[in-house]
Amino acid sequence: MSFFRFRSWVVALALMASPPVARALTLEVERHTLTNGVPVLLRPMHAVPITTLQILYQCGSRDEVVGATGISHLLEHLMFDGSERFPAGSFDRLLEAAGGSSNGYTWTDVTAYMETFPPAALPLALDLEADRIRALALTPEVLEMERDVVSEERRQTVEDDDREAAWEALFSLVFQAYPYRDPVIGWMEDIQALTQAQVQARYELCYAPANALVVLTGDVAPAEALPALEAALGGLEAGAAVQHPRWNEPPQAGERRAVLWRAVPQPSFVVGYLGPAAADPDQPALELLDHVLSGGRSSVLVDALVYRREVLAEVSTTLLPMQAASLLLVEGTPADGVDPHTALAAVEEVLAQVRAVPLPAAALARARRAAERSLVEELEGVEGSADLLGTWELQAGGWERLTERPARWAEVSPEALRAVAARWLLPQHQNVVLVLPKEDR
Amino acid sequence: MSAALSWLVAVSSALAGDPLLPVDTALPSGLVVRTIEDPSLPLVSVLLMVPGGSIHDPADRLGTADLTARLLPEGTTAHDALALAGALEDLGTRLDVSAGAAFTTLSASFLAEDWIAGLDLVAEVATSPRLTARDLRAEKARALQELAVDLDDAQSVASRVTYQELFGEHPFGRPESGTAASLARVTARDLRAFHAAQYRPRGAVLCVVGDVRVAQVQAAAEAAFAGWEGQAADPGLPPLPDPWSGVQKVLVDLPGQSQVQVRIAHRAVPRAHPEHEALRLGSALLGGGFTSRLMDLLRVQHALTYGADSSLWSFDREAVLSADFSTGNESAREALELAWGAIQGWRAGGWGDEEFDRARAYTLGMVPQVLETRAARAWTLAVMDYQGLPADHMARRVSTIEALERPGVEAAVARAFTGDGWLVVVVGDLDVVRPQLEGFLGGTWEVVAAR
Repeated sequence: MSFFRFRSWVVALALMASPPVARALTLEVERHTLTNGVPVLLRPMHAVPITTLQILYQCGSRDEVVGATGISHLLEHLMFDGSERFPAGSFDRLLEAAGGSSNGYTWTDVTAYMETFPPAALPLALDLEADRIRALALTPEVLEMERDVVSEERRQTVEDDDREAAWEALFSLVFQAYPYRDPVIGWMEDIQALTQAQVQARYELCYAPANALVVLTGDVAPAEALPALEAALGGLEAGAAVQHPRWNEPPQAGERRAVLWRAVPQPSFVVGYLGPAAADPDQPALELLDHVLSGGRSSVLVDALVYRREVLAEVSTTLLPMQAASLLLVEGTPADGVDPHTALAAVEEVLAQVRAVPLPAAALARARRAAERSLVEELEGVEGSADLLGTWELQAGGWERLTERPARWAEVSPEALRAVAARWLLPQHQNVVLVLPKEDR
Repeated sequence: MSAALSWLVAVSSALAGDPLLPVDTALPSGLVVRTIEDPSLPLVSVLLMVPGGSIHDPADRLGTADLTARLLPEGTTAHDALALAGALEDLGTRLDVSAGAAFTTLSASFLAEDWIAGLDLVAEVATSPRLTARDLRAEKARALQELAVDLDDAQSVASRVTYQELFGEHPFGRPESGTAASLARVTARDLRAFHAAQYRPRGAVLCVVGDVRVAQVQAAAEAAFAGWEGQAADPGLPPLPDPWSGVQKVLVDLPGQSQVQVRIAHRAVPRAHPEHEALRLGSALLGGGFTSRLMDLLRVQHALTYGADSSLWSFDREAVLSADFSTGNESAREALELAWGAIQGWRAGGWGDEEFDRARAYTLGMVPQVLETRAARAWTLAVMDYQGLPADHMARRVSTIEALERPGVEAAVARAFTGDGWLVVVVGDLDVVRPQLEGFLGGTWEVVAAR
């Protein structure tokens, strides 16, 4: 789960989960490296007079330790609360006065910050970013304030939200050993216990330029932007890169289930399957499989279970690629009066068919077309484009993989799609979270 | 390789026309066609808006507009549901059909090479849906389940109750998705009657934004909508209820919540009113950006919430200002008092020049951000039509905002938001929250339920 500083985190998931894609796609993206080694991606887009500066740090919730979960996310909040030259409150005041806005999010593998502003405000945005990388002003007062804000955020986005509570439980089921098991926002008990010394150490670990990637998109002239980037960020001492935990997840020996009894009007479920890392060659086929399963009215699960058999009121799938693994999720709400276990069994029947028999070529062609259009739409926005490039650069082996994606999709045959389903959607690898009305308990 | 996919995304900055200024044409049937040519990506957004929303529902059949919209993708006289979905999915897209209070929209985005075929499908769905009893039965079951979920969601409940209380029995106060009882009464015949009355070209508007030419759009629209005739029925809205004196406070019980949802709302002049833009700027100062008064007070100074904001939503003849936030159960009283005090201070004026200039700069900066995508511009063009705004509204909005001065905006806020007509809605676990709210602003809290 990715937690935004302000906006709904579902937005972040939609961006990261939707298949980022296109066929021989040519993007004008420049790659540069600052003096201290910080990589820079630059995509000029002149249709709208706005610019986005995004800095991604390769430090996320997987780099946390037991007892200190949520520290990356709490620190993300604190990064807006004052630095040596810009006291608390001035970051957003200066940016908004210049017509800009800011945001940030924390995810399993990265923490990211973005500012979107009129082009003339680039020097200001760089100045703000450089100062908080160099000298964040952590005080006990702002730590306590943000601790309370994050606690409210957790209540709002997890504890009072049935779907997010189910996702949190699912991550803990799928990942028994790897740190992806712990929520990005952290457990409430950990959020309450984090100390200033821990947060300061975390800042020094994560915000070294050696962990940073800079992406600049929108109405910018590279010849002017690059010297400004170098002047603001290139002179900062690189520091050391974070050493990420090695993959230690044991093979799953059988299905795992959990039940959440909550004040819900009707049952629902989410099923999760562990998948390969974001850069794995199976990802293009999994992206198409996601479309084929629930991408529209005629998709396999929707057509079979919502419309033909009417055992589900709704069903959707989500592919969540991460650096060390991915998750394919199937979420559903049983139709009125249908037992949730019956509904789950129906889902498995359909998936068994997908694993056994190649789907029609027409279904695959539709999935490819939808993925292509989605990619064009994702590249439309200045801010979304920055995040897409940054995410692919860090977790898919380079932003160039975006341009190759349509060709990879074109290579996926019906048999290859069946094979990837057979490899990753096995019934013995199911992780099921049922959310049931607590009065039924 | 498709032509649309071999583009070089390094597009020229020289667009064919103003990306915010539509060219308006009309078909002989009366259908208004608004086009913005923007060839910077091979993408086209199409949106058809018809004047059929919950304000047009028969009074004893609330939810008719919503059910009609939900059934549109379930097939036409030419295609059954699966064939229709397949035809759209062959174009790599899906059709979003959504009914609101005043209108229903059918929208989709297409790669440039597909949009004319896509427009044909949009027209087919809008003009000749099947609307069968069998499809209604299945869709009604899903709608009832979604309604149950909505009524269990604090944010959704807060919004429903806000409009219900501000407008009472007036159609602006209706729940767009109906009620369990009203949905049970709606028949396929009702849907067909609703469609026949409201899905008419005179009163509807088609918006096309993207890699197109105006003449091309005109020709394609004429072909796609050939034979579609008639005038949409006027809902004959009654006069709006008079605002009440003072403050109305309502509580809604939602057991088991760890937070309360709060809405502080007031009616205001609509979008086409000369003072509305000033009110939007005033709202931005109150609860627009991260440094707005509510966010600063409730989150930055007191750490009582994850987020607080205010916004204005406008019907054609009335708008609603709503300040929204959630907070932990134990801090409900404190947060409510702080927010109420901030709003009263805000409407009393005396704003600083720096915060006013910041709010204006923020508002100006958001204009290109919110109109960046073709889909957002198509939506805005349609809403502008409903709200009675001129075609050059988007293009002129920046200069309109730049011309606003602090004293004028303060005066507009003071005129629009007097001490009367305020509504405070709190949704949460009543057993936990009610004791601490007693005595707030005097008088009693009325306990209500969402319809």
